[in-house]
Amino acid sequence: VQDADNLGWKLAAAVQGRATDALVRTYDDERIPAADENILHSTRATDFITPKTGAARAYRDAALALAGQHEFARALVNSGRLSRPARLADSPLNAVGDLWPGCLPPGTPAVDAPVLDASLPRDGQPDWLLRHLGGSGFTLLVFGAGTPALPGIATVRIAPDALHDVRGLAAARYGAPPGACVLLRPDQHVAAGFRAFDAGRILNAVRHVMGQQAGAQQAGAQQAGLQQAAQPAALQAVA
Amino acid sequence: MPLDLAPRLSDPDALFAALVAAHEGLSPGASRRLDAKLVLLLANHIGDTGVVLDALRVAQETGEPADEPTDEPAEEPA
Repeated sequence: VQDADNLGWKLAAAVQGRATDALVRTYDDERIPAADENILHSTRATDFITPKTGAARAYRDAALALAGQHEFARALVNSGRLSRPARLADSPLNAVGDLWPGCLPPGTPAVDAPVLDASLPRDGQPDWLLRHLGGSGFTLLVFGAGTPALPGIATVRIAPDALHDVRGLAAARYGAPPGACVLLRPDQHVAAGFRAFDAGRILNAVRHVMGQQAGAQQAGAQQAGLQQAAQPAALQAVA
Repeated sequence: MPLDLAPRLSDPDALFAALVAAHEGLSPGASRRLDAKLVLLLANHIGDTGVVLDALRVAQETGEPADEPTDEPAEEPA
């Protein structure tokens, strides 16, 4: 599923002229390591289930025997670990943003959290955050006060009057201090995180992902503004 | 914390004897499983994978007696 999600939005963007073929080529950059990771996990699981040497069998049986009574050994029992999505740690699409302790670094699959949608009547409806992220375009996940709308980017706000993070789980899982913004790709992976809203840097990050190259270097709002002026086509591509 | 190779056991002779005694009368497979369980228990107690891997490296690099069979067919019938 992660594989198809990865390819789908890139093909759509290239076909519609919103990105260059370079974006489609990043499918290889991102999914080959992910496939290697899948193969590593499944090889380890297969080796656990069907030990190839006497030593492998002894350790497997030892882990199983211990797991019956001791919690620590249950982590060693490998009956398959394919259910975890790969983190695209070395992706060329990972944009420049801020990193802070506990943040979700670029390339990480978006995480879910229960929220209440305050836009619906009767004190909000129970909902899940992931349903609001990604899809046809980029999403800016904003923790706290309102921010100006950005062209071509949907804004999803975590606040009592928007999506209410009743139990604080969204902020905790994103490691997001008040005011932080997380830019998400259409396939629900983190493109970049920002300690605070900064239109220039966020648009720059989108341009970087879409193959406009402008986001490759660290850029403050002012610098990004200059680049916008120099490249009107880039803004159009975002919108 | 690096792997500590200084002598730390208060009664090394007693520990050695207990380890050997624990394997008495065991089939090769059962003996191997016992050691594997011991390794996993101790590795979890140490907690630091790096220290365990350092210990593994020291064990690998420390002289093996010649003419030992490398990997016995090992399994007694289940």
